[in-house]
Amino acid sequence: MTSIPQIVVNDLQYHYPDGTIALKGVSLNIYRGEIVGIMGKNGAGKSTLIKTFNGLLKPTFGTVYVENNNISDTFTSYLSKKVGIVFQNPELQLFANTVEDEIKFSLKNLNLSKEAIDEKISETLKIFDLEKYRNRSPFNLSGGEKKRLAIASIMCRDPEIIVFDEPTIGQDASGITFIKQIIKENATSGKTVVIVTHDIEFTIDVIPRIILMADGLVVADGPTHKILSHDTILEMTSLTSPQLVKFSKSLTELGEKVPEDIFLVKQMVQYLSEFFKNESRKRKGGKP
Amino acid sequence: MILGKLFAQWLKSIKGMSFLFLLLIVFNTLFDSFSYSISMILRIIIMVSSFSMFFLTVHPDDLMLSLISLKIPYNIAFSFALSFRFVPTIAMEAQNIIDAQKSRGYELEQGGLISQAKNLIPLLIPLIVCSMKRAFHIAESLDSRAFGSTKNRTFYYTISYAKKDWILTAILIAFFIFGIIVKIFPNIIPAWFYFRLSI
Ligand SMILES: Nc1ncnc2c1ncn2[C@@H]1O[C@H](COP(=O)(O)OP(=O)(O)OP(=O)(O)O)[C@@H](O)[C@H]1O
Ligand SMILES: [Mg+2]
Repeated sequence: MTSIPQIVVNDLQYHYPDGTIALKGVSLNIYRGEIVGIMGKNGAGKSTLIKTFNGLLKPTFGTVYVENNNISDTFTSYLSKKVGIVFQNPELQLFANTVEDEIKFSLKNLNLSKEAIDEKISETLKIFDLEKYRNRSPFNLSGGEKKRLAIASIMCRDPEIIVFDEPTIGQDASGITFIKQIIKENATSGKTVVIVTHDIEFTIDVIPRIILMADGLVVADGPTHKILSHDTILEMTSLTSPQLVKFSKSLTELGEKVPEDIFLVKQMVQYLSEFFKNESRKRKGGKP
Repeated sequence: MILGKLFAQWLKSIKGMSFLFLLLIVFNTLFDSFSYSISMILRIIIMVSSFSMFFLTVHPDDLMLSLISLKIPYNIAFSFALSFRFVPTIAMEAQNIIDAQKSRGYELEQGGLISQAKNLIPLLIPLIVCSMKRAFHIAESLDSRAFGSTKNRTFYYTISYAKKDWILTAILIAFFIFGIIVKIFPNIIPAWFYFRLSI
């Protein structure tokens, strides 16, 4: 992690043409190689914020820098090579006759040679397990496959920063596992991943840092385990705390002091097994 | 207050057309006269403002109810009103499609006329697909609410033609007929009525 942030948002305001003030002064830094979650209730301004990262929306006030480019005077056509946004609904972008053409379209404006494009297509189809659909129409794919194709059509462009808007909606368990795997692989290869999501269990699994938004402002920014165990913050953003946190709280109410930062099943299992060992030792000690 | 807001919106749509007006002035003055171009612009303003006045002030539901009061079958009136109701939704969706395609390197403005037309395909196809899907969803949800199962449905609100509506209709029809007559027999208007800007 270098010390200069890759994305710098400074006092950003965005007003929609109809007068809606969607962002009221957002400041944040995102570093290279980070996985960052953006959470908050409906209408908090999450989607608006990420649309500024590749210049789809220009700040009304304030600034956004992406790799030292001020997005206010940089074209989206340039920024889209650095920042890839995967939107929630894949149907908004599928149009080609075949899956292959769909990916070719994404590669068209990158000044690649014909051979390089062909190679990239094959590579991408393999990574996303879409080879068998190469010559099929994208409209005949299942929901999960469409989503994979939409992600593929962004990732084949090799952006430095990948942004997902609600990637887990409408995905079954295997779809979610696949998305998790893609995100982890990207982060380990040094890419920055920004994820807008409402999915708490998903967040706990893959996202170490959360930026919490409410009503056009950032209300909290920090490590996932701190933010998800903070009752008042969660209330403000109408997120429900994770199942395991609820579980430990009810245990605490029963008179057992359970640490508040248990989020993973593994941690809970470890805690409980130690707890039971201690119990049985106490019992043995009590009855010599 | 409401009128002021309407006026602001109207002004906005007129402002949006100012480029067109400029073109009109330039070309009409070149090929005809300045006063002709002014009258042309006035015509367009009247057309645009009557349309925008109509759609800014008449709620689609009212439009539907008034169509029904004109004895137009309910399902026709309903689909007519529904199509207006979805104009903003589709506009929003079009914007989202543009955003999604731009995020993968799509550029709207490039090349000549033919390549620009070809360039619209990545926008039009998702738009058509999504609109069709929505149409089917609406049809399903209408079916599941037993739309059209009985001939005489109840209306929560009703609108009926009052006396003043008949009077207004009569006046408008009179104007319309008068306009046609003037167009066919221009001589019935006294000469002093014609005026031209002397520029
Ligand atoms: N195109 C638009 N025109 C006007 N207002 C908009 C537009 N898009 C969003 N808004 C408004 O801006 C605010 C923020 O919207 P945004 O879509 O960024 O929220 P969000 O946090 O992504 O919510 P969600 O969780 O529902 O996706 C909302 O009040 C919304 O109504
Ligand atoms: Mg959103």
